[in-house]
Amino acid sequence: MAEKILEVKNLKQHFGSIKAVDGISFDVYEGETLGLVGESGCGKSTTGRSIIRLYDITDGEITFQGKNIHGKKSKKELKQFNKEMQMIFQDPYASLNPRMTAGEIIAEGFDIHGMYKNKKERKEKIGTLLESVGLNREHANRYAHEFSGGQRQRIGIARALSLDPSFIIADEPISALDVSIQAQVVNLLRQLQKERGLTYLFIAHDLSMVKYISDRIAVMRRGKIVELGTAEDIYNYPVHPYTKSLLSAIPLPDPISEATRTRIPYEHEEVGDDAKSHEVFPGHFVFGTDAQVKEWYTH
Amino acid sequence: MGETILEVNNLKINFKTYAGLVQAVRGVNFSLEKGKTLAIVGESGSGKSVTSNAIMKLIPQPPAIYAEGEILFNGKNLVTATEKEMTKIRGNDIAMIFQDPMTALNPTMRVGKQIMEVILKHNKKASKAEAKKRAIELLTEVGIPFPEQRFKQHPHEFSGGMRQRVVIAIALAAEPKILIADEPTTALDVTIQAQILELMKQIQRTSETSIIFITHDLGVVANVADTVAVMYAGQIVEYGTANEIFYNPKHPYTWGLLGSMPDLDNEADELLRTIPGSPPDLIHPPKGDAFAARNEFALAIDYEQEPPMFQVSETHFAKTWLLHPDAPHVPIPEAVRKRIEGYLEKNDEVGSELGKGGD
Repeated sequence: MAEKILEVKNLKQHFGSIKAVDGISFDVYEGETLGLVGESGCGKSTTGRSIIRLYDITDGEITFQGKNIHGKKSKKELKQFNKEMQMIFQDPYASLNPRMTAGEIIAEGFDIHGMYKNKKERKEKIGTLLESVGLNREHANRYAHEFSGGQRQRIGIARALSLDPSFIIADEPISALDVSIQAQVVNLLRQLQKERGLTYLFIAHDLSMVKYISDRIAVMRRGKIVELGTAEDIYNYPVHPYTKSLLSAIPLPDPISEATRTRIPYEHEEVGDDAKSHEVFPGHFVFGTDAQVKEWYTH
Repeated sequence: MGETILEVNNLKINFKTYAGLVQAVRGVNFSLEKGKTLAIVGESGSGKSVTSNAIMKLIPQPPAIYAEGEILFNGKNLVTATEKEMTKIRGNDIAMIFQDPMTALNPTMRVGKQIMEVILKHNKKASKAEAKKRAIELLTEVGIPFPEQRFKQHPHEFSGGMRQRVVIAIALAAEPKILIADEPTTALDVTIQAQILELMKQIQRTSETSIIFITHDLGVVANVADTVAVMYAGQIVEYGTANEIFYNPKHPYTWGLLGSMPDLDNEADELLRTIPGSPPDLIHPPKGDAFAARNEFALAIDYEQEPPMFQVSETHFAKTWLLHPDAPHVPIPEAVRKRIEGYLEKNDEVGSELGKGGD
């Protein structure tokens, strides 16, 4: 088994009375893709943002490469952390500064970190990054509005890669893109992962894409992880009724089966304080009370 | 063949912009039958929303120009209809559901009143009390619990899925013959999407409404459509029954769309098929086949001449030179073929388990 790169223990992120994330624990292993799925408002994006220190967490502990993320840090430590962990955002229209060229956007990171000796090396670095995400060196001098949505997302990816991070949080990186462009970006992410040994936390609501890209999947609902397991297990042997309901709602490009498909409705059951995570199968966790999990598992 | 309620013939729509004339819709033909659903599928900029808005004449002129063609609703040409005539048709005969239910509703008005407004406007004889009764009935029909209490609430007190149900209730208020739904579930979560799709199908069964469903999601298309029109660069490039489009696609663009969608049985180590590049600029549409530059199977003629619609079956058409009798034989890409075979096999198994048997 690969090394743990990230450990999340009992993470809580409350905004006033809203418990956006309410006590979740999971690990991410080096080189894997962990998919985080759930419907709007389930806390999946908040989880990603807490991990990358965009929020001060309410409670819990996040350890990255053996170090506590939210503990006191010197400037040097912070810089090192920022180098190792990067984020790709959902909206490629909102996440790129319209007043900066693609080259400036990509180079901002290594300008701050002083990762080149001279202008020539800086230019060379920008060019290599652009090429690695399927754009041309000449694109460096263009502004964001001169690019299509898919190309903008490639710039966002190049920016995330610029500091040579080991861990990337991708928050709905393809949901704003057209179907044919989604596939291009997903293929690019997978190819970069292979070449650079990247670890991804892939946050999305599109379950078929998450199944495709992830090694393991965590299903979130109302601030809790209700089920976590390998992508195969989650899709073929779901245990939690919410996971079953989610899976039954995905429409497939298959009209004959669609004509007879029945959605499994999910009735929310209040869980008391005695609910906890149960390992029903090695590496496959289900959240509920002892009695609930026993009942779900035998059905 | 059922009764045709709407027919669009050679519709061309241009937009005047500072950069030049954008040819957004470039000769679209389709027909809609009573009680059936036509899905128009395509990517952003393919002209699918312009086409549907054009039917309702909701695009401002200028900048839009109805350059050519006709839209026949029960034999009447809407392109030449006056604004007064259109006001009667909108809502009464043809109603629309939009993507974002928050912007479609008035945030300052109780939802009950918004539904009543439509009822009273379209049925001048109805009293206020009757309209209120009907509005509550509609809220019940679209599956909103506690309709009497909900009637008095404002849109912000509803969740996204419930809001979209209100929008549907408003669209149904005047008992339209055609419902145009422009990405009605795109902003919703999958479980809510499934509920809304079920609701629309149930409404169609009880009231024989015809539906034009605009979407980019092929899964949704397979779920709702009787007939499918695949649009690319302002044109319909493939047209057929849902079974024909999904099990026997002929156009390379349709292959590309089907291939770029991951499915749950995808092998994890295979890359998704992609359509390289991006759609053409419609100020200067390319010569020949608009898809040629992105088409790995493009022939020399694709860069010279625009292909006609070739007929595959009585109901199935595709606009690609690959269907010309002299064209080289290009089989459907392996990955797409395998997937279709997988679906059909699975359906056969299910079919025989149910005692129906496959065909």
